Amino acid sequence: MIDQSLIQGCIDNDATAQRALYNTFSPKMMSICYRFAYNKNDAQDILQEAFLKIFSQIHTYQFKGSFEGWVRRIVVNSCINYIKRNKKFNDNVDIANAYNIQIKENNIGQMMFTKQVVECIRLLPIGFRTVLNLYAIEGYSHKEISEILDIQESTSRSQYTRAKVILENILIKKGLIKNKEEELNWIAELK
Amino acid sequence: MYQHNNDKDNLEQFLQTVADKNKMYSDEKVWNAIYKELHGYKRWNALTIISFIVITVLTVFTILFNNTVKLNFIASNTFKEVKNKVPKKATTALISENIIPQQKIFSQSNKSYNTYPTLAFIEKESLPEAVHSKTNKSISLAFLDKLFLNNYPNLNGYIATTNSIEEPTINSIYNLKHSTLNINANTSLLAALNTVPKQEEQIILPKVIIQENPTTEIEKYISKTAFTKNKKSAIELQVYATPSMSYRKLVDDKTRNTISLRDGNTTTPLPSVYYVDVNEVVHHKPALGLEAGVGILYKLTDKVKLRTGLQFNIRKYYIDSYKSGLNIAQIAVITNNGLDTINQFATSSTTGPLNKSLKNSLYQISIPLGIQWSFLQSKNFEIGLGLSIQPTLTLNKNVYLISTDYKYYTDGTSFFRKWNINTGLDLNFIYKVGNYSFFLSPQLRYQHLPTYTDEYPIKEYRLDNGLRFGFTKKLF
Repeated sequence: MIDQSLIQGCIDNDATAQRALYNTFSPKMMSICYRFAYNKNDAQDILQEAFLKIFSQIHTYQFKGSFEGWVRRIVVNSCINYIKRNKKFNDNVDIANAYNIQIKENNIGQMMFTKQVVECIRLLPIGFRTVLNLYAIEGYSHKEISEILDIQESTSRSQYTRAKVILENILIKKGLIKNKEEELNWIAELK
Repeated sequence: MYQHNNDKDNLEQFLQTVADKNKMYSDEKVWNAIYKELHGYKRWNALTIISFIVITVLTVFTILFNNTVKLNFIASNTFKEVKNKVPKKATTALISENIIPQQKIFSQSNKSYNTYPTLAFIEKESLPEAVHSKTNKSISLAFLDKLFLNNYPNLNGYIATTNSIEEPTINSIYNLKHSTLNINANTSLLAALNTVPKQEEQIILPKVIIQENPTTEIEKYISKTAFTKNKKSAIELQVYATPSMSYRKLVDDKTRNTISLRDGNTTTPLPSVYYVDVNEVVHHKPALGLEAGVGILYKLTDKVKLRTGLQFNIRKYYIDSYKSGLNIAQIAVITNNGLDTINQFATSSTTGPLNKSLKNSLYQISIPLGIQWSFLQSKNFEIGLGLSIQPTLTLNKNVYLISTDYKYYTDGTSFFRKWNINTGLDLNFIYKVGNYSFFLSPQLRYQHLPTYTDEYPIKEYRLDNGLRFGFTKKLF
């Protein structure tokens, strides 16, 4: 739970409070940006833009509801703006070819499990990845996604379905998911 | 098998859980950029203030010291030649009744001397004794001021008036041989000159020396400089090189042991023997490097000079290591408020049977800003101290760092600090020949910030010992 005095400090444009808030939320938000972006540099650009929005709009926060949720919405919106600016969200691949996507990151095996999964998500074509991020992780509906990305709702659905199949294929190939029981056990451990 | 065909909810739950657990850390530059946007460029205040102080000091000293008396002597056989040889940009000019000796208005850049149109030339015999002894049977022509003439009313020579010093066309020549110039604080020079007879211009002088001098202290300066043609230069050019040896000291920030691990980290890359001093683990061998550069010296006083320039540095050392297979080097990284781990490949270890030497080398440019103080001076020799601050940019690097468990050496490029600050301290032995000075200077150079960024907990501090040599040439 974030301290309200910290938010008030940010409203007062206090640099120390801003730094503390940044330290608190930037790791998780950076991870979101990274899932949407092409690379780490782009993710950092998005993060920077998002936090500038957060600090400039923080006075509009009503101290109702989750502050992290409020921050997260701004970050996700920044990610969407980034995708739109780059106009690549319509890129996708045929599902037949998608099965043959090669995992180029040689060092995936050295990473922690969560990082490995995120890297697998990032292997998806940008269009698939965007829809998957928004639908499966951020909880947007296909209708909302279609409005945000200015695509047909059916396109969103089909891209998600393809993305899901490809991702599962990659996760299995990487040995990150072997069977349902193991998966459920892993989730239970995380919790 | 995981039911990936129909179990959509399960996949979403899985991805959400994983995504929520995952954290990434941005570079410090992201926060710096945010801070800059929110609060402006305050962090550069120090630089602005330093620049302001340096510029102010230079300006003040220029005003105070740039009028160091410069005597130009021009030998000639006729007065006409003398007129032609008066430099258009006369460094000094004494003339006129309105000049207060203490006013240093005679610098090259100050054109106000154009308004003081009087020349004086005096026969050798009429000059004061101290001047007289140096004139070598010549007749002196000097730009003199009223006070000088007032102090020596019985000068036995000539005074000429001109339109300006820049174009010293003689208007009139006054012969003082048989007259006394009655001049005092209330008398104008021209009024006084009107009381003495005029001389025809076609006077032939066997040898003429022009002395340009801004103050009434002509006698003092002439006796000091003894007709040397050397100007006292304020700006000097320096070229130098410094062969040097690089040493280093490692300091392991063990506070990382007390920092909690971030979520998801299950291993701690701490040395199993972390109570051992890292300097005992790393076997460092100094190697010969080089600094070379050009500098500009600005003379503040006879003993103190400001120094700046551009310097290129090559700094090297070797690490004794051992060959190993392909291993993972674990590096504990301190970012924001936690501890993280980065894994890198390594092929060299700190122990093993097969020796391998790792070469650490840096190529840098730096801008030394410093001061040079001469505490012992003679005609040809000088001994002094130099101190400089050197903002340094690393252009190219080949560096290895030790993993934080002290087991392996791995590429340190990603942790390298691009900008650093060094301080140089040197003892200068200077030999002066004409406009050139040659120097030999034992030098110490200390690197203030650790070689690697704050994220890497083992801090490396470097010290270079070198011998600086080169020459300095007076410019203007």
